[in-house]
Amino acid sequence: MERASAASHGRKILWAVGILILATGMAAAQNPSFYTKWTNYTSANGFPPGEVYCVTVDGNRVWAGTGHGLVLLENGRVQKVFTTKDGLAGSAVMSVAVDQLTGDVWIGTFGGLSRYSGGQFKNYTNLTSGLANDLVYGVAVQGQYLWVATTAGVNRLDTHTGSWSIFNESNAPFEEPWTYGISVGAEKIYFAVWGGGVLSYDRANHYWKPYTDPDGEMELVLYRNQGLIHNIVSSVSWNPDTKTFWASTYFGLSSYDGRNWHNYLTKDSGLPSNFINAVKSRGNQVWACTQKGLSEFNPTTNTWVTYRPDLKTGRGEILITRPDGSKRQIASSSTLAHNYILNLDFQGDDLWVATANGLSHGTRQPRKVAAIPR
Amino acid sequence: MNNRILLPHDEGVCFFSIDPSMSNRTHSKVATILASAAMLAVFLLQPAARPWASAQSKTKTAVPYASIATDGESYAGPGRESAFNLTGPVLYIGLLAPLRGPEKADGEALVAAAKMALRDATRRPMPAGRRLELAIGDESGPSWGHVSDVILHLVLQQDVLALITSTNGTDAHISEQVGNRIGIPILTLANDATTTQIDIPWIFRLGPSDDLQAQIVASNLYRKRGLKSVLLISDADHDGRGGDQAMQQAARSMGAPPPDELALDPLHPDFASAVARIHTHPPQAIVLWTRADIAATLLSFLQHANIHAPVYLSQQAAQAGPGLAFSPLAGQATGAPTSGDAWTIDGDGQSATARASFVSRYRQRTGSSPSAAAAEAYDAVCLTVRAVRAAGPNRARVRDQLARVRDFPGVSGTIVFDRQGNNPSPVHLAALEQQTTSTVTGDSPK
Repeated sequence: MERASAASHGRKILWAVGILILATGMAAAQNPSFYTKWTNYTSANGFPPGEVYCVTVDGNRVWAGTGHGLVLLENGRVQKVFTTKDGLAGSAVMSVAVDQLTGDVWIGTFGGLSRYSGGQFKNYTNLTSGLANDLVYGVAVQGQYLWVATTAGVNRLDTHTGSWSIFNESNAPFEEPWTYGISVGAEKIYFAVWGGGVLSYDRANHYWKPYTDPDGEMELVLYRNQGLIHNIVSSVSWNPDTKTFWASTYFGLSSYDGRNWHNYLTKDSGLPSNFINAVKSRGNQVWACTQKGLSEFNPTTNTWVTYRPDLKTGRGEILITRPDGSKRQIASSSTLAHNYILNLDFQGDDLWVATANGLSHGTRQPRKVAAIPR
Repeated sequence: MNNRILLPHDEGVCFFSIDPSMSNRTHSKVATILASAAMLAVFLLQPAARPWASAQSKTKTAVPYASIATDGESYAGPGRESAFNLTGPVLYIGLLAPLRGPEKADGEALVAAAKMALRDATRRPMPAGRRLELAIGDESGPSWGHVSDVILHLVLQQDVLALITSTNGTDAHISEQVGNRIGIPILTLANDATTTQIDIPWIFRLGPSDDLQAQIVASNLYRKRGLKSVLLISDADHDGRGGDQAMQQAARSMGAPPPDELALDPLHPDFASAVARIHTHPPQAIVLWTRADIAATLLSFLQHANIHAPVYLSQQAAQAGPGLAFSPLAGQATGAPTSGDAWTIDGDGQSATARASFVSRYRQRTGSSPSAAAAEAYDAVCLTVRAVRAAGPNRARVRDQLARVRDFPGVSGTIVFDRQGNNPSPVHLAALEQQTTSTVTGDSPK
């Protein structure tokens, strides 16, 4: 009797969850809202010229890494551009992480690692510290530890003791040591490795696990959901809400929920490009930073929305790809600073997007857009 | 950790997980039922699992889900606008080469060839009265940290328009990663095919891949000469592993027995042990996939030990190491190797006149024959100068020009860049001449 009751109860919960998912999907489909208000920070309004490589939101502060230094914005205004003259380790800034406990800002540059604390920079280089290499692609804070992705492996700095650990092919299953990105999860740290797929590090058990392209072919993908789509991984993002990690590559997008892999290419999804510089995921959102626009994918509704300036006219456009593959294009009065997207971060529901021609701030607006006549 | 049973079929791959903790009878029954259900599901859902569908499935050609050749895309990135132009009267072409340590001779050969090319290619004045110069970075150093700093200096401080990298595959990858972020064309002399097996728009590889070289060598060893016992000596590093895999795969593809392997620590190569092993188990031929200095020393050891098996060297191994020089007549020397010969890979289709002129002038300047890598360095500079003439001082537009290179008559062979930046031009086996005998250092071979 008890077992039957429990089974009945379980069925009710399943139904309720199913209805909730359906309702959410229908609501999203019926009342879509898009990022139609974009404010761009470019050389035209005093921002450093060229690429913005990374962006990190810290409350009302936004840190943007450019080829000409680190930009601090507060409440949407540029406060300061830090350069090597201010003490930054390198002028090309690839990554920024903020320690929420200490307020320290960690900056990965092409020239070493910097810590900005109390208005002062302290630098760590290959020669002056345990840093594996001065080409720093990623930084991430995990409690007292700072994880650093370098071209010669992964570093872990214990910020309490100042001791450095290095992980590379000599002590971990790195197929290659060239590490491009980091994502910190509650139980594991995930690393994007150029030529080595995704690596996870189990925080409690100190156990490394590699996820690589199972077909062993660099130029081919044998089966659609075979596993990681390509071994050259540009970034990784752990989504704690869906317990899934997403990996971007220069030949498609992959996700793994612990049981199943799903791969996405332009030919069978709403991705505007297979060349993906970065991915970030939270809740039902997966954001792919591609060379042909910024895409939001909702795995629940299987809907893609891509934002970009039209590649020919430069006018704003929003491309929607529905689950059945049908597409709709609508115009947007404002748009991103460039179609080549390198990175993004969230500020509540707002987006801060690193593009090849400046930083863009996007706000979701009630729908006021018109379909572009074909 | 779960045990996994892999069941391949023509539509996909199925994984069944068996939890080892399920040891009691109930769990076994559940597992049996689940496994049966799963098998039934596979049977019903997958046409390939159904006997009546097998005839149909056998007629299907296995088509990969995707390939870069068909699903790749062109570069849609930034940087072509004049705002991104490099400024100043002098523009730089970067060259990464080993200028100290055991690979010094290889690096100097690249520099000599690059300088010759720059002089030749800029005889006609550059547009807007600009001058082109080489910015040379020394990649030899104790660690990768040094190489990274040199690359950064060339890219960020010297603002090179393009960067030419040596035959070192690791340094090619590091340069490619930087080039991909910053937006710098990379022309590499490395034979590591993985540098161009992805849709990175910034890299161009001039020489033959390890795979292509291995195919040529293996074809000669196994098909033409019918050899069975081949020893492969490689460096225990990234490049050595790449060559090792390529040779094993080539042997497999020809149904030949895999070559015996001997990996040498490139920092402390144990030549004496290697030669002792060759004495104990004499191979019919030896393949060297090592650094050039290691290959040269090994050849000397073999000579002193009266080992006369034919030797095949990868292009990286056959650079200007002490005692080795690339034969200018290699293009014509396509006969079967004989005992005691040394062979390597050379490009096809180069203009005989241009090649002879290059070899002659190179010899006059340096006193030695150019290696294949030196010839490629010459071509890399010529291609870059040509691209700069057409594109102006702009990295992205120079990249676009390089991506359009078709049938360039280089002194290293015909150069064609496919959409991934490979040069798929044919190559052939060529003879190596030994100009001088290098001094054997270390322990004498037993």
